[in-house]
Amino acid sequence: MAHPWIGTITPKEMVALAEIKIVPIGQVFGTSFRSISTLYFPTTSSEVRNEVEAFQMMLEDSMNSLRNQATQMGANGVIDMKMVHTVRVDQSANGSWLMSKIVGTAVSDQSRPQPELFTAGISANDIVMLRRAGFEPCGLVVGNSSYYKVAWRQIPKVGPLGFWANQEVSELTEGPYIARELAMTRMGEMARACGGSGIIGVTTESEVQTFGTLTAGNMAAFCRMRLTGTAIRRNSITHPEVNIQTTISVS
Amino acid sequence: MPYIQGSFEGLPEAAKQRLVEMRGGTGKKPLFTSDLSVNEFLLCQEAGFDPVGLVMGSSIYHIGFQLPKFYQSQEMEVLTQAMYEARELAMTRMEEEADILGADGVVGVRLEVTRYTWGEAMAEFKAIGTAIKHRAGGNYRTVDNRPFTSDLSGQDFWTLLKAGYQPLSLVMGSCVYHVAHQGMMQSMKQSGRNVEMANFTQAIYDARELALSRMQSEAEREGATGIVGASVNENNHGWDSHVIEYFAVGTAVKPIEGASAVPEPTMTISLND
Repeated sequence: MAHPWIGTITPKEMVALAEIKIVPIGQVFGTSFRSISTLYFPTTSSEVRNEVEAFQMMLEDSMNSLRNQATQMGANGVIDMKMVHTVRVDQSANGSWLMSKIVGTAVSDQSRPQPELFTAGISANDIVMLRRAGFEPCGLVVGNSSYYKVAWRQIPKVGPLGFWANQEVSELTEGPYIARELAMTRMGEMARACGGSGIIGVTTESEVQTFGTLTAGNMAAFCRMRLTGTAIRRNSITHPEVNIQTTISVS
Repeated sequence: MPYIQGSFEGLPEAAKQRLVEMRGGTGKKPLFTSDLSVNEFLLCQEAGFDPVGLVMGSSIYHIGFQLPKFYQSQEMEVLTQAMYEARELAMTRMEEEADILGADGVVGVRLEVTRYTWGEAMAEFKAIGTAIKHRAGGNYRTVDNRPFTSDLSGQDFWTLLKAGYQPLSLVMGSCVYHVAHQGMMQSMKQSGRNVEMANFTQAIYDARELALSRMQSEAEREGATGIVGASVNENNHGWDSHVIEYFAVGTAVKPIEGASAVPEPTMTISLND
């Protein structure tokens, strides 16, 4: 007897998926741990390459593991994907490491060619809505950056009492800004590579860690930025058929 | 830093370049990014708008110092000014990003203030939203040609347009207020009795009124007939326990000329619990 399939989708979502010829097959996971060589902070503002590269390799490993499981099950898509990333920075002998956990529901989309596997961070209901509106998901996309920004030249603008005054700390403002730009650019490239014309549902995780103090003039900020979204494109298979009505719920 | 049409001051070079690339300006395929949910994305599309990009403005700001009078309720003008200026910096940068994308407006704007343990007097102010453009080239920009801004969700934005109104601008009013401490005699008088703490009540009323009236003045300057989704939030931001910021925020709206009447809603019974 075949094993029962496992999925994160609800009965209502299952019914909705059946209508657009998508059948759930089972739950798939991808996990990867990766150690980071000692974090070496540059003396000038720049990206911390070893952490960025470690993150990208870890993500690739966990995504490949999830894709392999899905393919072995005979799926050509993974939907409702959830991702958790953990960064553990430890300068002791244990070293620093990154961890990525991804979970999703493998599906068989009978309207797509079999070898092409798509991934999506959106729910089954959202897939149905998108399909009916003439769009389809083409990939879960991620952008990351770890940027080190020195703020050594930031001095109070109004003399010795400058820190009693309102002022923007512009050197520190640049840190998270540049980190976000790098992450956005990488996420965009990933979306273009999988044939997307747009990204929806972008979520942002950011973290700022500082060293030194502004008053002593030796402050630096380490900014991490992670962006996740779902790349979409126009679907040539269906014609838009979304009917929007104003309703009052009696619940 | 007030908004100046055509100025991109405060934006890093990398941001300008990426935004130009997103429009397909450097030979790359155009691509939009958005934090809208699927429903919001489809409703914006149905209303005739295409998302053109996730836009953000931020500022790490050093908030100055002001010593309050212990027994006096008063506005902390230095702190109020800091909260205004820093939010303005973030909003202006977000609008500049929307300008590069050729957007008509920004929906789903979130204003966030984050205090970090490493900088007692510092806070990061962020404004994030999705820039959208009207497909048929409708004029939805403000009177001074800024992109419109709104904290309404995609669903509320669609409903607002269908109801015959258009968003003009995210309007806000801030007031940082010091609530006076009670004197020894006052504390003794109320000991063991049920009495209203009038100075506390009055201070909170005054602060809320100042925040609301400032938000209303902003809406009047924009030529709005109303403010929807208004809320007043209280936050201490890590100051002394008697210092509170009252922050009023909402979307200023005006009727669309020649708009049709609101369609009659259909009653539904949801299958959800």
